Amino acid sequence: MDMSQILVALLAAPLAAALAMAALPSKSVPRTAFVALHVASLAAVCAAGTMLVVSVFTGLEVYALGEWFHVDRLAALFVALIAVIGTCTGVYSIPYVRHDVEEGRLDPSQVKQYYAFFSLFLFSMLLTVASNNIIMMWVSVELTTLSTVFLVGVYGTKLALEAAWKYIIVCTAGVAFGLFGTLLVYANAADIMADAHQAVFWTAILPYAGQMDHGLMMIAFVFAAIGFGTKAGLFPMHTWLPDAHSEAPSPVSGLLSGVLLKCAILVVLRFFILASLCVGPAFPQVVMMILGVLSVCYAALMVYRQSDVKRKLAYSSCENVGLIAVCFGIGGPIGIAAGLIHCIGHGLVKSLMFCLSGNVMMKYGTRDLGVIRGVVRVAPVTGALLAAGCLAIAGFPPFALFVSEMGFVLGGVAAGQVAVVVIVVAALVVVIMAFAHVITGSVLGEAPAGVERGDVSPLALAPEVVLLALIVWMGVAMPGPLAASIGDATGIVLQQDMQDFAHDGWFVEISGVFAGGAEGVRS
Amino acid sequence: MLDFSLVNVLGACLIITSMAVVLARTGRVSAQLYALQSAVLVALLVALGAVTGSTELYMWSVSAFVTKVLLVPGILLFTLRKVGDSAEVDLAPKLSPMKCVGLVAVEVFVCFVAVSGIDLPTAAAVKPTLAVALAHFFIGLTCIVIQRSIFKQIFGYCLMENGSHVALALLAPQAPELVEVGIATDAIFAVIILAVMVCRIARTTHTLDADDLAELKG
Amino acid sequence: MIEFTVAVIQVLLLVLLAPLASGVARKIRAKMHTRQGTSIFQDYYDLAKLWRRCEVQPGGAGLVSRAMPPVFLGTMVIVAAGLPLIARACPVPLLGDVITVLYLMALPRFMFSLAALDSAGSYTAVGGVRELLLGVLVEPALILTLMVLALACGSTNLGVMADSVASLVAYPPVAVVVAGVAFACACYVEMGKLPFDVAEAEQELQEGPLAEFSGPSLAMLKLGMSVKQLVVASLFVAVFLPFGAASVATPLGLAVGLALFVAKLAAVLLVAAVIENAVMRVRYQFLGRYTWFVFGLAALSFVFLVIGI
Repeated sequence: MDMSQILVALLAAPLAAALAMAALPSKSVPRTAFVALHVASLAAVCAAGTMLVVSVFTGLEVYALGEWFHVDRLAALFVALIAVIGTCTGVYSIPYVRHDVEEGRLDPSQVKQYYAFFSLFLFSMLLTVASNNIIMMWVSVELTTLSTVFLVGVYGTKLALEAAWKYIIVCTAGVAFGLFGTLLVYANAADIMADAHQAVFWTAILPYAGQMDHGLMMIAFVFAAIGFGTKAGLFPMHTWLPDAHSEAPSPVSGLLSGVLLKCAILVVLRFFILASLCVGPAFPQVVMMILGVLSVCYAALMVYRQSDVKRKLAYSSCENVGLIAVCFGIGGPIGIAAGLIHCIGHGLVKSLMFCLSGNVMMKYGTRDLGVIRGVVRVAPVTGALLAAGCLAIAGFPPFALFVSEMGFVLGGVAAGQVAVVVIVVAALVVVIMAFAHVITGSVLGEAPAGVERGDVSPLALAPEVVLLALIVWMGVAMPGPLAASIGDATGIVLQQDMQDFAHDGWFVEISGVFAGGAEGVRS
Repeated sequence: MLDFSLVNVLGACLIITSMAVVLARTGRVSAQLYALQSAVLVALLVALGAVTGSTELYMWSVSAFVTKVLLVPGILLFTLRKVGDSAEVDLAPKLSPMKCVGLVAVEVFVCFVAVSGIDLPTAAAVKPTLAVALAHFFIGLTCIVIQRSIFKQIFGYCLMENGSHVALALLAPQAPELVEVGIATDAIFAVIILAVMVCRIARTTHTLDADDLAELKG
Repeated sequence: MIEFTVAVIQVLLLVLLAPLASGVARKIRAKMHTRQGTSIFQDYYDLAKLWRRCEVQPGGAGLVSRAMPPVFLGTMVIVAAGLPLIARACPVPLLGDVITVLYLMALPRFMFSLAALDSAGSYTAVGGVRELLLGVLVEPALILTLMVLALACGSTNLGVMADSVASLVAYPPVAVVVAGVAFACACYVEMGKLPFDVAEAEQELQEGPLAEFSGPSLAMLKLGMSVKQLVVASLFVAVFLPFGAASVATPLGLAVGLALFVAKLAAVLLVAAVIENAVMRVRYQFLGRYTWFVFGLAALSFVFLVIGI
């Protein structure tokens, strides 16, 4: 089958599912119908996504609807992320929502709302990573905000509504900045290019980026970094993140933290590439570095302070996104590759942790870490997974984040940014302390009296096991095609052929670290 | 008279009406002033279209008229009616009127300084209005930050959208309508969802005071 | 020669019409409060009566109290002579400079407050201090708006400014319009009408500085205060609404200019009278809010000027 048709199917499936669920009345149709539609949507996304990603990894570049959609190696990484994490959190949603309806936290009529917006959310994220039209990129980022507002506020409590309001106001206002940056780029491109109608397409602008006005591009990049950085959760625009990610249902939090922040980072990357071609890599790197370092330091301290488990995880997302930004700020092949690996690794780890926090909430009924103790005694499998997840987040080997954080350190030293590396490592140590505290305080220890022993249903554990397996796989021996694609994606970001780095001894050594073997990264 | 100075004059009127929207006491008056501000925006688009000779701008002004002058104030006035008595809508902003005006003046000046560094052929004659468009972002942001009533924070977002519309019209008058329609549709959906959230919050918590809705901290 | 005549006509016009203007304002207030009110010529009768009375001064009052009423009235008369009211040029160019006018308008306020302190009465002193407070708060706005207009028109001479505005040459236009609005608000504050009559608070039990004066001094002071209101209003009309004033000094043009000036002035005073009767006096602690808002408007017009809109 033609890959562009697969791409269109990938986008159309969750949208169709969402519209179908919206059309069905919630009163008369049984809940299982919505669950069935939800599973169908997940299956379609998973299947189409896998086919697309495999074909792109093996060398194809897919266009669809003229030049409106374009999936290259860079976008394929994110499509894979959306498909995998979307499926896992989607499957996890089923027992979680069932439990919430039994507890009374959710109305039966809200089940339809949840599943419909879930599919719409998947659609909007796929639209963001696949779109080639820069205006549509902005529209789809807005759409992600609009489709998740009701998910964040689905519980209808005062705190949930407050979090939803803060989310929508800060994100739409922030993304409006991104729009201004996009318009500046578009106007500049329309002036230079022969056919102004082509100026909307990122792939069409790329060859002309070197001729654009420097001042305009610098302003545009700063606006885009601030605007889409708001959506990514960079300091100081992150204020909505802890509230929204903690008040949302756990699977949605996992999807928000794990995937949505990375989609926003991808959009920033697209502008980063244009700016690097126009004014040279120094200026965009400095901007990303500043935002990243501030995010990491502030968020690391806040992670330590939190006693609400989901807020802790949310601040940890801020910190990791900051780390990704610092990696891109360091630049060069190692920095960029480390950033991309961290995107994927953190997506997997954070969705794992949020799903586990959902399990903990199902057992204990609270998010307060002071009350949550002895998880491994109450729910052994969850406890073991939680301990592994905390170690994974803290960046221990053999988990995926160790690879990217080592890559960051080595890349930073190679680029001469030793001071930045020292500061960020100090912040990472604070994060390690915080999550070690979670293990000793919450996973181990005496279980409180009123909590029922026995683990949650297998359906609520299976996605986490899958995610953990993927994390370990990535950390121990990254699969060859994945490593190669990360190499090629790095090449896209740097707009250079990765062959250029084959002779660089430093790079070959370090890329051996990434792939668990010297032959890992194909040049 | 029909040259870029008309565009600049309309740009200044835009600033004045935006300031009025920020300072208005009641939500109802804010909505009406926003309709007026959007009408000035439509006039600016028409003037720009006449000056640059771009037919797309006439189409844009029609769609801007429908969405910004009719739809958005209509949605907001409907929201006011739905909220009704369940919560207090008209709360005084956190900053006194003088400081608002002073802040707006400073923002316009700073944006003008920022814009004078841009060197774009289409923008040479209309730099003051480009500064006005950029200033609208910060005026909208100011509105969001200083307003205590979350209903009035919606106007801040609408002002930011107006700013980007004017910027697009100034910088790329030849752009296809699809671009402008896409942005306008998205803005309408955002306003609708903001309005729905305001209704839900008013119904559930019986307050629209942003200070009351600040329990999640730290 | 013709300029001298014009100056004299302006002075006579303003001085003779001042009591009539305040009488009409009082009548409007009465009608708005659904009372009958006194005759509109009451102020003339009052002035005539006061002139015949003998003068009494408090014990400690010195030269300042004796000199203040003539200085007050005289300064206002001099300012009136220099404004481009009827024609688009100043009858006395020396007096037509905006800086001179601002200083000349500050002088009576200064003397007023000094005399209030001179009489050593507690209520009069309070009134004098409040007058100074009002001056400090409103003068920045006045100065800034006039400076904006001067920059827009390219000269500090009031006649040249009036000419530029009348022939629509003043650039940039929106800055001039916003400056006009700010100047109108500042003039209203300067006129000392409600809600800003903090110094000479007529409705309070004990009056302000006017309480210590009697006889001809009081007559001059009352006349001077009425003339001041007219002069401030005329300043606004002359500079920002100069349409219709004579551009060439022909007798017909001057007559038309005179008639139009009287009409414009009457319209401005009518609006002021309606506003003043709809509000109550602001507490002097909150004066700052209103005056700072006016200053904010003036600052905005300055920003527009700098930007070039």
